[in-house]
Formats: sequence, structure tokens, C-alpha cells
Amino acid sequence: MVRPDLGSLEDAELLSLYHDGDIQAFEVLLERYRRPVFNFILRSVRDREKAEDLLQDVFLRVVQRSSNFKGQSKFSTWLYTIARNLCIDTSRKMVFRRHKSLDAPSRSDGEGAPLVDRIASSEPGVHREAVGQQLQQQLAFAVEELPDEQREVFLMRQVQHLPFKEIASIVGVPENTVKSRMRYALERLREALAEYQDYARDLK
Amino acid sequence: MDLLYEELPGARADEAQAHMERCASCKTAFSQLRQALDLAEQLPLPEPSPHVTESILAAARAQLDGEAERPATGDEADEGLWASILRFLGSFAMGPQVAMATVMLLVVAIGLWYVPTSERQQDAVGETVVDPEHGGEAGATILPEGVEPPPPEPPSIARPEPQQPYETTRGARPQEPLLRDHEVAAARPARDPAIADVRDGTAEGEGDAIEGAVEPPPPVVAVAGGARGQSRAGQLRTEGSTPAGETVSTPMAPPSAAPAPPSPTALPTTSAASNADAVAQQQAVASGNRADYDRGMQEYRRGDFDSAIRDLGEVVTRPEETARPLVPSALHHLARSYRGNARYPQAAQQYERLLTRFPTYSGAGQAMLELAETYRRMGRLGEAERWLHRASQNPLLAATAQRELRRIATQREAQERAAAQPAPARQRRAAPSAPSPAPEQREAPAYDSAEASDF
Repeated sequence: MVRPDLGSLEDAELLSLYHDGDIQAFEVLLERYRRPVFNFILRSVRDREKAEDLLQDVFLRVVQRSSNFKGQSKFSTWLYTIARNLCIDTSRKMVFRRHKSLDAPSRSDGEGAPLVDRIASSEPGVHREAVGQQLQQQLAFAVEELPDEQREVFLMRQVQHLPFKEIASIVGVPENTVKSRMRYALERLREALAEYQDYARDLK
Repeated sequence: MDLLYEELPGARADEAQAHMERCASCKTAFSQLRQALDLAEQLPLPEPSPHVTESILAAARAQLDGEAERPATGDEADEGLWASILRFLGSFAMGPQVAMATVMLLVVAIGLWYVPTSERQQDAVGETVVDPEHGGEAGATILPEGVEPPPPEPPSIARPEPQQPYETTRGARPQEPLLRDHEVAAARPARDPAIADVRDGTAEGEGDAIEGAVEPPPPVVAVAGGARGQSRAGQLRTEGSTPAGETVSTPMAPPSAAPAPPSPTALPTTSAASNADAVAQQQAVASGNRADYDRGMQEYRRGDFDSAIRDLGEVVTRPEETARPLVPSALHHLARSYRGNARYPQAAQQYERLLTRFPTYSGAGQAMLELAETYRRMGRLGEAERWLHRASQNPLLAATAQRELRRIATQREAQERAAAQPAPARQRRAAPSAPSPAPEQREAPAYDSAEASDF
């Protein structure tokens, strides 16, 4: 049972507590960032197994280097810098071309192909939930297809809700450049998923 | 963007809103971005597998434990250490008794060290950490040697490309704190936390794996096949640490054969050792299957269809039970690889095999669409239609299947029109299986945007 008081602490405080021997502090920190960082990595490397391995790598480095983090930057900046660098390293080694395909080969489990194609179904029999699932799949596919510089900005903002200023410091470009990339990413996604806009509007 | 995310200060936000009331294009652009953001909110955010969290926490605990084991102050430790050394050296003053005992110990140690190599090869399994579930570029690279049946391809001891050191042996460092290494190894079995940038240690790790310590076989702990989560969780629960302190290991064949082609080795004679070796062989075979599958998948993803055909083709012919879970996906991607190389008859054959042998395969519907498209390209429209009708029984595929059926109908009409025309005009037409007239050419299939692409 994690102590409830830990939830209100800042990231740097939690890391400091962990460095002093409080494993629960690290649990809280991990809980905060595990899922967003995993999704950042997942949409970058497009392979769940690889993403899980890299997630472990990221936090292993955090664990090993916790004493080196002195709070000069935000913990999230440090964390995402590590994650981004690992993704870049991995992408350089795993040079593969994405084919325009429906199978969204981000999965590498033994059963292969996940959900199906981009279906602009207007047939009355198609369940709303099925369309929603298709939208999610296509959205994930479209995100993975974004140019790297747009995708990383999009994910850091959309998944982790990092401020644009912080994203700029992570990727090493001016803040306005980050905002432009975010805009381009949104425009691309909108074009890729034009057929789902009515559905998305209904969801709001 | 600031306005979009409601981060624009009040006055400026009002200005922006007022502008958009006057400027239709800006208003439209903002509205479109707003729509895109609404869509983006639907991005699925899956959780990592639970074992990942467990591994990370185990590593975090191990890090704390490791730091706790270190001496409190350096001075005290040094003083104690030096005092111990001095006392030890002083003990030599006792004279020849100590000297004789030391010599005898050295003789015994040397004698043990030079135990015949063959015996060591029989026993040896190395300390290579191979997670059978993590093949691929970071997975098992050392195929079994001397395992019956012999591996279908020469063992690739070292992967051609430098990869993460999942295979890093730990046996070469036998004296590290056992608990710390065990925990860290559980979290990241193939990584040595002492290596700052582990990627640079890949070659070192592989070299160690090849030439690593020749130890008696540790208890078989790695889980072959099965769920990946089970495998990592199994590693976390490993027991029976070897004296080297490394428990996450898959017994492997003799390292001495690593750089050279494999040489058969005799099996241990004791029953316990035989059982362990048999299990080790099974695990090695399983890891080899996984490695081939992962390698084939990588080759497919990067468009190296020839290599993917070779490696995935190996997997689908494996008789072992451990290969079975991989076969459906391997068959599917084998078929896609043939399609990628425009070898449609071979592709169709593999699709048929897949759908016949594994009718409940989760990607069967998709495979049907792809098979139909393959037959269409071969000009076998009847078979294409047959598979599209089957695919249309899946409500999620029905729209695509119907669209493709209409496309085939259009193609048939075009063929019939071509056949009905006078001979000279007909000679100028393309062949039935060739690219069809303009209306169809403009309609690219939703799932195939390039000639050599696949789904």
C-alpha cells in the first residue's frame, strides 16, 4: 500500500526520497509516467515488445542515475530526454519501411494482424463501437506514420501533456517550432482520419 | 496553438476570438485544428504488461539494496580492509606450514582448472542469457549446437547487426554481489548494470557468451515458449543461483564451438544431467524458433522480402510444438512477402495454407482480403470473388469486401467489352490480368497503395 502523502509530492522530491531509500516514492513516480512514456515509445518504435523493453531501459537508467539528477531540469524533461534518445538509437538500428497497410505492424505477437482496414462504412449495421475501435486503430496508425519530428511533439503534448516550452527543451528547437510541428501533426491526422470526423464530433 | 489549448492569456484570447469572427479562413483553420484535437483525444493508450512494472520495481529495489551493501564510510572500510590485508600477510610469518598449505591449494586449483576439455563441454552451458520470448534484434542469437535434430541453418552466433546485449553472459563476472545482480538481471536479464551504456557492450556481451565461463549446468529456469510475460516473470522468480550468481540463463551448447561450425557433443551420462540437457535443448530449440521468426518479421518490415521468405519459410516447417504458436503469423507474413515480391502464385499458396490450417487465426479475415487481391492480380477472378464473399461475412470487413467485389465486377465488364470488340482493337488492349482501364486504375484499393506493398 503506497503512502497517500506521496501522491502530492513533486517528481524531484519523489526521486530524492527514492534515492534515500524509499521504494514507494519510486512506485509513485513510476505510476505517473509508466503509461505515457510507454505510449511515447510504442508509437515511435511501433512494436509492443520492443517498446516494453525500452520502457524498462528508460527506468533502469533513471534508477541507476538517480543520484546524478540534481533537479537542474524538470524530472519529466530528463525522463523524456532519455526515452527520446533511446527511441532514436533504436530507430537507427531498426531501419524498416512502413508499408501502407491495414495491419499496422506495430504488433509482433504470435498472432499477427490486428484490426482491420480503414473502412468508411456507412452501412447501418455497423456497430458504433466497432467504428470507434476502427478509429482508434487508424489513429494509432496515422500517428505512427507522422514524421518523426511531428510525432514526438504530438505524443509528448497529447499523451504526457508537457508544455510546449518543455518539449522545446527536450527536442532542442525553439518553442514556436514545436508549436508549428504540433499544428502540422494535427493537420495530417485530420486529413488521414477525415472520414471519422463526424464520429469524433458525436463523441464530444 | 496556445488558443487551441486554452493557454492564451485572457486579453489575447479575446483578440484572437474577435479576429476569427471577422476572418473566415482563420476561423475555418482553427475549427479544423479543433476537430483534429478532438480526434487525437481518441488515441488509444495501452498499458505495458504488468511484468514490465514488476521488473522495473525489482531493479529499483536492487539498486537500493546494492547501495545499502556498500560500506558506510570509505575510511572505515579502507582501514578495515588494510588491517585485514596486513594480518593476512603477517600470517606468513608462521613459516613453512602456511607456505606448504598454499602450494597444495594451488596444485589442487590448477588440477581442477585443467579438467579435460571434453568433460567441460558436456557439462557446459555457458551463462548466456537468452530470453526465448525476446528474439528479434535483441533476442537469442546463439542457436543450439550439437542439438538433435540439428538446427536447420548454421547457427548464427553473432547477429550481423549490433544489437542490444540480451545475450550478455554474466558468468564471466562471478564475484559480483549476488543479490544485486540477480535482481537487476531479473529486471533486465541481459544487461550488466556495471556497463554504463549497455549498447556499447553488445559485442562484449556476445563475445562473452561465446567464450564464457564453462560451468556446470545451472538449474533450468528460463521459460521456453509461452507468454512473454511468463518468461520475464519466471526470470524474476528464478532460484538456484549458480556460484557465479547468475540465475537467468538458458543452458546452451558448448561455447567453444561458437566461432566455428557446430560440432556434435556427447550428452551427460547422469539422468539428472540428461533431463536438464533435454530441457535445455528444448528451450534452445524454442529460442531458435523465436529468433528465426523475429528475424523474418524484421526483414519483412524493412522490405527485404527474399530474406523474410527464407526465414519465415523455415519457421513454418518446424515440427516442434514450441514453433506452433508462431506458425500462423509466420505463414501470413510469408504470404505477404511473396506478394511483396510479386510472386503471386506462391503467395496464394501460402494464404491457402494459412486459411486451411488455421481457420480461427485472428488475422484470417485480413488474409482472405489479401488472398482475394492476389487472385485478382493473377486474373483468377472467380477465386478472388469466392474469398471476398467469405471475407464479407465478417461485419468489420464487409465494406471492403463489397468494394473489392464491385471492382472485380468492373474488371469483368472491361474484359467482356474487350473480348467483344473487333480483333485489331482487341489486340491493342492489355491482357486481362494486366492493369485495367482508367476507372479502375483511379480507384486504388484502400489497403494497397503500392504495387509491392502489402497489408
